[in-house]
Amino acid sequence: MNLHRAIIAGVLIATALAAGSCTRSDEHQTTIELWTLSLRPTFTEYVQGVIQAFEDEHPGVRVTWVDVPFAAVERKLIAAAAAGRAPDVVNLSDLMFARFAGAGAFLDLTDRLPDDPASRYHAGALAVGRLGDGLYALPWYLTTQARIFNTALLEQNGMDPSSVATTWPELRDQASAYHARTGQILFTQPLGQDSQLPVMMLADGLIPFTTDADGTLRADLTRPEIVSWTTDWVDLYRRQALPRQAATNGFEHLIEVYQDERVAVLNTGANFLGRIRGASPRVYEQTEVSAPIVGSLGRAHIAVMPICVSRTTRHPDLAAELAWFLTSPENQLAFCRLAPILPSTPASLSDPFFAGPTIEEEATGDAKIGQARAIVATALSDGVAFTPALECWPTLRRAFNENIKRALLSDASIRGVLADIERDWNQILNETDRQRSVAGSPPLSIEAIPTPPPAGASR
Amino acid sequence: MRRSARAPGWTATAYAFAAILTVLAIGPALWLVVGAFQSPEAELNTLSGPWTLANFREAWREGGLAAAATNSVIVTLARAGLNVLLAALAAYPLARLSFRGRNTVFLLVLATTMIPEQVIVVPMFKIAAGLGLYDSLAGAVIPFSVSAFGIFLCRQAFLAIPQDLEEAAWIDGAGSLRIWWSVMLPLATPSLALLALFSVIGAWSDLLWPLVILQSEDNFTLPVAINRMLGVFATNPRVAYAASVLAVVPIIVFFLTVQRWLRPELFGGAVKG
Repeated sequence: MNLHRAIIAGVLIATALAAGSCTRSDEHQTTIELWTLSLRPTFTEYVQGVIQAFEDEHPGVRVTWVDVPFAAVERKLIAAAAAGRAPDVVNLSDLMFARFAGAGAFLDLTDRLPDDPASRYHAGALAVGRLGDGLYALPWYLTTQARIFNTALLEQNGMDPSSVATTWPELRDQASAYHARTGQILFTQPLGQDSQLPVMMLADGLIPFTTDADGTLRADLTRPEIVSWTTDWVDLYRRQALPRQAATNGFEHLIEVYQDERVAVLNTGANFLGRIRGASPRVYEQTEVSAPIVGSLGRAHIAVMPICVSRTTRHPDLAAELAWFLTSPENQLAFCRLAPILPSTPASLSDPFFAGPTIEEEATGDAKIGQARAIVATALSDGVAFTPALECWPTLRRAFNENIKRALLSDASIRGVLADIERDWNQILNETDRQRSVAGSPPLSIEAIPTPPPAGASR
Repeated sequence: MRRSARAPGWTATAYAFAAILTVLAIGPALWLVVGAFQSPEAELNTLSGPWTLANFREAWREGGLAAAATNSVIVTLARAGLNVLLAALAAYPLARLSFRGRNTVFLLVLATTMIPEQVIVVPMFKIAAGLGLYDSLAGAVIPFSVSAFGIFLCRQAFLAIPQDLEEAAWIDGAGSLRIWWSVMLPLATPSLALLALFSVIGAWSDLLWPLVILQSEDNFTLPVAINRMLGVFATNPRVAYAASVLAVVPIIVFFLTVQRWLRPELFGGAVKG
């Protein structure tokens, strides 16, 4: 058989096989589609168990579970929504949630829940799902951070591991002195790509927003205290007391530089411990975990994974019920036993599992993971999601990232860069207000910015 | 005057430069292969052991790679085959037949190569879903069953075939389709093989479109299945590395098989000059 005959035969066979795989839907049941983020294959059994329990409670209902890779969910969701195939219930990151919620993708759950969500969920985590007067997401699992440090490396460079600072301003000063003395880099944090500066700013009690006389939300990044604060961080980078990747890479560089022992300290999610163990067993052995590095307010930042219900769902009550069921204290506790995450339901935290390492962890040499869990669970009580409930927050963050990279990677005037960011932010805020006005929604409000009192003080 | 021999310093610099480029090109792949064979006790940032095959076993079992590989073979064969067939079919009139607007059609076809796949994912998804292709292997195949690059490549190959051969077939009573099938295709074999090679590599490694259009685990292709192994909770990247190594092997085998057709001189000397 010559080549072109072989091609024809192959095409016919493969096309027939491909065409034969078209799916057929079951018309005799109520089907709810649930999308989660990167949970297969590690948590397949857990999620299927929860779905089975929900289906048992709701005869005639079938839940179709689709697990989507983290990096693909936005594109997949946009495509599915455009084709009228948006899932009924979807799990997103807090930043992605804000973007889609701002476009009106989700249903207001306020009147569809069986009980008061405020009595069930962590207040700071629940706030992420509130936009204007509506509740557009329930908080599922959370992650907060822990201070992870390489004791051997610190000692080798003449630093007592117990003296590592617990606040960002102190750590910044410590890193500067450490670099001047040893030429080494103490820690890293994403400052350019996925810049954490806006979050750290809020955690330090600096609000980069203000309001006009008529109550319009405006950016306020050029006032002296914010210029001075930003200058301190940019100067630290320019003095090479932070690795180059701090300006050019996002979170993925943390593990890379830590496992290579180019930095001695990280402030990151406890789930990174498992990845350090996987990448470098030796560095893992030298690693200890302690309370997170926090801002001047003394409150750790919480990252929330919201669960939302699509506005176009044909079964809004059932979908809201599934979101409520998935985020119940019992189901979240069972999930936390399998994954390095925290529950958004304070009731789950009273379980001894969050008090320290389990017997199994002690026996298998994973006590550090148990200690980290206890540390982050303690930090959670005072934790706040320093994520403003603004649908344009991801766009504001992107504008910040693009401009601040210029300040980090050149000698550009920091005040000038902040003025550029302020101008961009005001344009974005104006556009968002215009869209809200068209949709008949209330204008953006400074109420959406998390402004908690310092830890320990009453509001 | 005899040209002087190249200075040894220049040669050394050229070799050093070539060595650096080689390391940059194959270094990451080499790292991937080494990581795939490392046991969990090994340091990932070194090229040292201990070594194991367990990562491959785990990747195959946990990643469901057997089903994914079968799907990938089906999708790749269908996509590559359709690409060659349809591109050759579309290219023939653009190269040899005279009709009004031929050049405009060709320019329009070429213009589509300027649009990145990411931009057209949403409208393409909408159309594919509307045709009932959502979450099916056919959905992963049909939207990419012909490419502008393929049409361009085939057109250039047909243009290079001497007109005399076509005219001889015409005198013997062959029609356009017969000439395309019996004269043009055999003589354009090197270009068709090249297009098949590019199509196979493209289809085999395509992640974005299958990720968007496929939903059920049963329909996942290899890149989608491997991508899933790098989730936020994954702690052993060596298993994903092993899966990637397994996924690359068929492409290498295919290249070694198809390269015998990649001979530009195939139709040289067919016409007396």
